[in-house]
Amino acid sequence: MNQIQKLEKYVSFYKLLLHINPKNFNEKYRSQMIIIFKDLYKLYCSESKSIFYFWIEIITDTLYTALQQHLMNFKLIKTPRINNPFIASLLIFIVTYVIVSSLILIVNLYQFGGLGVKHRLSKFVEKHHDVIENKIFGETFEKAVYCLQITDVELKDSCEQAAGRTIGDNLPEEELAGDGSIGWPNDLFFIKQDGKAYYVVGWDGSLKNITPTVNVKAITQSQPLSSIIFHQNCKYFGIWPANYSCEIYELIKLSNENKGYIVRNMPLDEDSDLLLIMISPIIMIPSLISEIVSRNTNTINGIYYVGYYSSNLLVALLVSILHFHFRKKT
Amino acid sequence: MSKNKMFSEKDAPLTPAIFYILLSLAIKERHGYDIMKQVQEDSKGKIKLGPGTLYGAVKKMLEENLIEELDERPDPTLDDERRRYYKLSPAGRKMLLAELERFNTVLEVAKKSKINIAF
Repeated sequence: MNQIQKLEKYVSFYKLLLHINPKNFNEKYRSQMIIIFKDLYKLYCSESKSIFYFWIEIITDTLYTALQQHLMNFKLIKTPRINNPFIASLLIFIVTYVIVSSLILIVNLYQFGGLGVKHRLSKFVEKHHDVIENKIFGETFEKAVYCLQITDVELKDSCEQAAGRTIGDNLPEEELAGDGSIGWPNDLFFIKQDGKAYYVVGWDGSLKNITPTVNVKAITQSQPLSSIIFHQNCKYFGIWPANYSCEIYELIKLSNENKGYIVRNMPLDEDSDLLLIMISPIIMIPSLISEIVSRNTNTINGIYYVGYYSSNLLVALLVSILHFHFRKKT
Repeated sequence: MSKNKMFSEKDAPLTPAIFYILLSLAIKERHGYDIMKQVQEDSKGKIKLGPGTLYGAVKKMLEENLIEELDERPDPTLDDERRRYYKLSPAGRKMLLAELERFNTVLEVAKKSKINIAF
């Protein structure tokens, strides 16, 4: 490939890169920036400088300009100008670190945490609404009530097992079983409100009156998002003994003005804890280094995992260093 | 005068890049690449502007009426690309002179204090 072909290829890539600038900035200056790009490339070639450093300069220049112009356009946070570039960069580091950590939290919450569980539960209930209303809250509960009346322990046991089987026979519970941190949905419970009383039936088919442990005031039409996101300890029905867990529920209206709740339990997971995400680079980077040194065969997976959980630190460092570098210049 | 006035004759100092751009335009009209090269030369390589940072600064200076945009024409010493030229505005010239005066004052103080400055 000769110099002219190379230049054309590089210019095409630079034109793509310029798309990250705001539209109004590009409209005015894009053509002139492309001319200067070509001039700089020719200069680098004439001085036999490394093309790698050329691209590092161009990319950092473009990223910084795009960030600066977008911020000016949106007139973000009117703060007094901080004259000390080091302090300004430090503040940018902190803000970026928190933002990226929050993004990691949101991704984790959806993939492994409460938001994802809630979403999948809602879809599941919507899809199997009729079966849940009739077979579970109808037939299963009727069977479980009947089993309560049996005095013989063995007979009662097999009655309850049969009641529990109704759930398995009628619901494709494997649709719920795909979550990251929750295995088989044996944390799935069905709670029926009958007047002022609340009864629960689980996979074991046994019926229990849980009225004393239900927080009636807290149960609303739709579970507040804040309780799912910050699910350190949200108990609505009190069916799960563990301290740090959240009962995620979906409401279903039954006949006779009764209500049914399909409940899953979400235990505390370090993947969904913002504080742990924020300190994870400090823990993970040294352990990755020791893995590399010991030539562990799982290092590639380890690098991916550590890279993901250290992205808050890496992105914050990159942004603050870029800011410091260009702030001193301009 | 723009609403978001960032510079004024009394407010100082100018950022290094803005100062050197004004200085480069004090001699003659220049286009972007020419400004870039002159700034790098005058600052002895300390200020290196990329295309984005250069036009970010140009945009700011146009908003503050420190420079004026001229026509687009080729540079006879380069290729036949149509390059946009800029010149110093009267307000920009005043700003540059004020800045140079400030440097002068500081130098005078340094000389009086007999600080050893190598020229």
